[in-house]
Amino acid sequence: MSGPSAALWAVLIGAMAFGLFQIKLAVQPAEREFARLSRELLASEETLHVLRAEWSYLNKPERLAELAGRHLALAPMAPQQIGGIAALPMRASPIDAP
Amino acid sequence: MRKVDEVAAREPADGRVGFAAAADRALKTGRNRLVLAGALFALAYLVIGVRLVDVMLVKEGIEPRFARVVVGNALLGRRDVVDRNGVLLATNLPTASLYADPRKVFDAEVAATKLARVLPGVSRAELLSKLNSERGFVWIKRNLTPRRQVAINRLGLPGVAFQREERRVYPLGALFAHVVGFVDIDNRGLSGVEREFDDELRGLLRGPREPLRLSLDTRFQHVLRDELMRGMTEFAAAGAAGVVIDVANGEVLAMVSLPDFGPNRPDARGGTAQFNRVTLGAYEMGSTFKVFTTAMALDTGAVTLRDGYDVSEPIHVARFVIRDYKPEKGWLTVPEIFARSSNIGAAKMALAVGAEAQREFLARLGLLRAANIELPEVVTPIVPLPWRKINTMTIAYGHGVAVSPLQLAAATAAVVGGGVFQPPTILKRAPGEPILGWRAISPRTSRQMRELLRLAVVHGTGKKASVPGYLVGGKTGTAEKVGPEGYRQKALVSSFVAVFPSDAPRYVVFVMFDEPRGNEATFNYATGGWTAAPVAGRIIARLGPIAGIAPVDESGGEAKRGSLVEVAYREGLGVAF
Repeated sequence: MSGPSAALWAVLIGAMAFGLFQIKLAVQPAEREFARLSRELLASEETLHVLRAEWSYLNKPERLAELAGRHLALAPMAPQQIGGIAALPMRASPIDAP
Repeated sequence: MRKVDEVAAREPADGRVGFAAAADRALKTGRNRLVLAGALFALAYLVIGVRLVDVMLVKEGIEPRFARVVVGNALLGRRDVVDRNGVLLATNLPTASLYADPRKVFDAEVAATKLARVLPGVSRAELLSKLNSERGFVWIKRNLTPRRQVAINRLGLPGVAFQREERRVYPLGALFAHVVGFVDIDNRGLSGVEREFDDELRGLLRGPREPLRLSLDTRFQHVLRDELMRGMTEFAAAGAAGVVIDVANGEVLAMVSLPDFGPNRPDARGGTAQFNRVTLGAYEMGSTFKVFTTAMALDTGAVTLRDGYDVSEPIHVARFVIRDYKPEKGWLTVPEIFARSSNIGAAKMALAVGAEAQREFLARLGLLRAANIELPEVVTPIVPLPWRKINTMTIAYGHGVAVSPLQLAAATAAVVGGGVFQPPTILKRAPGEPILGWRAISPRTSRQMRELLRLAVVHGTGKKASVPGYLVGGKTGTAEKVGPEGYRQKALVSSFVAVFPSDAPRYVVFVMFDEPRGNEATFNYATGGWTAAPVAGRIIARLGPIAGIAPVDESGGEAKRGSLVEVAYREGLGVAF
């Protein structure tokens, strides 16, 4: 245990210590970032949840009917307004080719 | 020393040689032990090294995913309830609740004054007694709005703090009040789906945390409620009930009981508004029961569509008299009895079948036992005991047996939908899910009944339910309510059960008004044909386009498929409503 082998071990120990320090340095901010993102995710999910409830509330059929009555010139569709292509009458005169 | 002597004795006379050999051996032993110990240490290091590699490189994923764990814990305890299309019916919102630790409150007098100013509905005296109590924890106000929370924070009072809580909210308000139900302040279900599925919703049972999906459709529900409310105002009725059932699989698409209540602020004392008439109310349904009487008579072969009865004379049984609302003269065929709603004819048909067969038949349609539906509020029908001849006759036209509107609608769906009874459900069925049902009548009788129901709308008592463009079939019903002195003539339960389209039924719509009053437009009639039938017609006119049912030309040949019964129906006789 002398000379070159001792030097080799010393270098190895030094390298390991440095590497460990580097990794720890890199991990610490990553962990902080991770915790921050988790918090953000949580907040976003909660916001989403609240917004979904609000969406449902704002789409209450009663409210939509009232708003439509106030702002649109539309009325509920009557059965007579539905038709098929087959129900259309044929054209009386043949189409003139241009 | 004895040992040395022995060694010396065995060795040659030169003592030095003997000692050298002994030292050599000791050295060897020492080295062996050193090697062994070294090997053991090396092994230990190797194990540690392997384990280090294992933990750090190989088994990386075994560490719990931090984010997922947090999300699972924090997000919102009780599961959502959605309708069949995913519209949110019940969910949770995070709120803050104010509590105090009275031991830490600095000056209870000042704190109570300040809080009373910010919190409406909480008196200063009440706050003061809470803040002066000896306990370490008192609720001051649950579920505050964000604005109140800010206002209280601004007071800067020591000893009071907020607890994050969840509050159950129903974004659609009263629309699904009876079906979905509501919860208490600790989010435990008190009625409706909230109570029936309390364990599932609270996540006590294992399984995916998906929202609970009901079979109801928000659009259908809105149309039904809207028209029932209009009808209730129009006829000044005390209450109304309505239900829409999918004929194909027994799914309940809409269920409304009026008057209703706001589930977001329910009155904990209950009251009539929280009574679900559709499942918990038992009513004598009147003539709508003739649907079952006629189906039974046709299915058992007791009568055919060409048979008939003399309905000119009221029937006298014991001390009762069975008479028609609008008496007819002479002989009526079965289709005429049905369309004109003759009590005498229906009673005679039931007698032809017999009491035992009648009871067995009504049981097959689920009318004699409590409906098997996923709600806690279910009524057990009122059934006569013993089942005498007079009961057979009165039940034929819907007096003597009281059932819930849901049961009547489900039984009608069985009669028109090919004859198989399917228990109604408020949960959405998965496509292709096998449905537990049983045959109640033959497909042939079912087809005849569809035609009879159509006939009653085209020519009979249900004329007001007709919708241009749709083939509506239906039967009116008017029953007198029972009072302390027998039946009350002025207090009616007027109903209408409709099926549409009547040639290939998709929906059964049941509408009922409790104690409606006639008005000028109805010539003061409050019967089913004048009150419930037009409302049912309006509902169908609005549901049809939503459901994507193509309208037909009623006067065309397609619509005349009711010819089978038209043969036995004579024009020109007076029509009663």
